[in-house]
Amino acid sequence: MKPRTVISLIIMGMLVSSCVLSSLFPLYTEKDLMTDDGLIGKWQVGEENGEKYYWIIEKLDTVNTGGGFLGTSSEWSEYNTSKTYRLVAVQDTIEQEFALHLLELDGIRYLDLYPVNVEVSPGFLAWHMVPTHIFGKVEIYKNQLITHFFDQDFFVKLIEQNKIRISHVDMNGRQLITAETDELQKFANKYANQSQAFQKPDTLPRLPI
Amino acid sequence: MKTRLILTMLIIIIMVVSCIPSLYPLYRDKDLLFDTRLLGLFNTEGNMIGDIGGDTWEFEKLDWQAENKSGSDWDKFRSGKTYKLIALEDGKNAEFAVHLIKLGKNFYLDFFPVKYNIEHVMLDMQLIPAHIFGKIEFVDNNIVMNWFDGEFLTNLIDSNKVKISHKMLENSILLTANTEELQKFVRKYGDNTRAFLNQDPDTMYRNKIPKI
Repeated sequence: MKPRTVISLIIMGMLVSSCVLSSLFPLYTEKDLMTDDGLIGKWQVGEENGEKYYWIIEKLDTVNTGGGFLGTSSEWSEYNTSKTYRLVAVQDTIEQEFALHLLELDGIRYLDLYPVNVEVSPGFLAWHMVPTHIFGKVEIYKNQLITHFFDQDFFVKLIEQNKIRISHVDMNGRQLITAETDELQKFANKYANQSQAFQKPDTLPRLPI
Repeated sequence: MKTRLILTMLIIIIMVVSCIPSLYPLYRDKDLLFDTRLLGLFNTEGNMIGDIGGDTWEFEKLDWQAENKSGSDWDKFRSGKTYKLIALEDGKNAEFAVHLIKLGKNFYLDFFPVKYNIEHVMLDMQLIPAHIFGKIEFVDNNIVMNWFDGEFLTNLIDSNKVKISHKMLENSILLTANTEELQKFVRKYGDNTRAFLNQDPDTMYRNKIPKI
């Protein structure tokens, strides 16, 4: 692994390691969605050489979701529930947008992240790349966010030990869950209170805007 | 400049809309072939060695044991009939596992990214690599790639002319069908010119050795 990648992994915390569980389908249906404007703001996810790596979260403006090429709608026009947050993850000089959805299952809050307006180069590589959802439990406080993302290694052990049956594909070592939302929710509900099902929690302090 | 930029963006948009990624490969190990005509360096411009312009593809036979010494990325490709492709585009390298098979009277290549760099770490985590496949023709010393057209497939699905497991993504269709289903589709439409992108197929020219 290249030094730069190692540094980035440390900076971005466990969240950005390759061990977070990925899913083709979202954890939410529209009826599960909720809002909490406590999410809105700037959150620190790491620091390198005094430079902060951070998330900016804002409520998605569903009226002005255009801005795509030649006046076409961007991918944000897909999100019209008025319960979508736009997350911009700033890493050094590069930014990436994600759709963030907050939901509640059995009294536990989760967030679901999905990349939006993805640009990958080179173009031939971009043909092959499939965007996926990641999700985890979230605690929202005035001055910090705490996230607990589902852990891929725990999932692999469950599969190997025949403890769960859930549709998934091994993409050269990366597990992709292909089960639909209702099955995902059953999985989340079953393991919500088992700490080993999650990666080490990440604490993101609030930054001044 | 502005026109060139717009054209480039249009081409990118067409490429994104038209390609068909697949979760499963088009091949089973027992289908695999190895053809030495694929080995070597190819480029998009037909240039001489030492004067390479445009993009290049370099195919070599995968030595997974040697690759394992520097990591385990290639560990799952032990068929003995895997090509390692190093694709250079816009000054950036990416490595792909490539497999050759024959279905009906046509040859096909399956591409899967193995080593690549996506700078944004969080984005990298949320992009999963998938298979892409296309029909290959060996013409003279060159190779010609014909890519399946996502729009053609979408129309077939919308008009109930074909049933194949898939998921619609924002800009493309993702095939979730297993290998058997994929091969059935490819056998059925492999000779239908409309099933492939409605543009010139991609020709990759074998690098010529300059005369001394």
